[in-house]
Amino acid sequence: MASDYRDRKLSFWQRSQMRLHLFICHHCRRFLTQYTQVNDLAATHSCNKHEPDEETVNQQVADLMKLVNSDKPDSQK
Amino acid sequence: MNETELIQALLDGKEDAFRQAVKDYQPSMMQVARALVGPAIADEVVQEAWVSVIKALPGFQARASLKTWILRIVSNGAKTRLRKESRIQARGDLADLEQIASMSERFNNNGHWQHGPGNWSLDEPDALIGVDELKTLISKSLDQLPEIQRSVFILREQHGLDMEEICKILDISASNSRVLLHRARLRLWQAIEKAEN
Repeated sequence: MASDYRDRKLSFWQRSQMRLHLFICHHCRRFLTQYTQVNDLAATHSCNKHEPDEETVNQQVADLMKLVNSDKPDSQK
Repeated sequence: MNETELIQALLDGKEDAFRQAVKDYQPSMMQVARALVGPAIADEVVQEAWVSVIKALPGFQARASLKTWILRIVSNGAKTRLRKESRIQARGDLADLEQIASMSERFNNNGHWQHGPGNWSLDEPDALIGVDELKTLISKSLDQLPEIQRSVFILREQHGLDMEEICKILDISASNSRVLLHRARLRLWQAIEKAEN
């Protein structure tokens, strides 16, 4: 429910019920605030994105260029 | 370069276009490959996918974004690889019994909090752990997630794919994808909660 509330996937009625519950329940209110903060931080933190380093990019590009050029007739190389 | 320009430049065989494509798409390609075949052969699957991308690019019809199209190629390649090797990639993390058990202990039989969340907020300047430590903790927690949970989370939150695309790429149902996303988010919260308390 917390995940769906955060992503606005709840129906109008479910959202209203959730808001009412959050008004009453301080534990859930606190949990949702923390849950949102943690996930917002994780979403912007890119260290797990497996971004390739420069060497990997160079190697990958070199391999792709070889492939592209091998497909071309000799006159176009 | 925007997507249309990138595609044309790739078709023209321009090296800087390939460089941009690798930087833009390789991280998410690796994420999909890891989710489907595991980290050991993810590299090979991505290499094979690039070959397929080059060959199929002239026929790209822009019915989906280039990114989604590329990721589907990765996904198809991964599934083919699994079939060839007669492997079934374990997705057992859907049960995630340990997480379910640890959260259920915090609620009583009536569904109310028995042990509420600790009194902390990442906004507070005197939070127990600093931003750098938090980021390290988040990174570690993400690394410890089951592969499929991590992939759904990263593809959704960091690569910005919508859930429908993720379901098609990872071959999971919409309801499973939402459960996996929630569990990944919950694990992150649990890791920070433990550190803050």
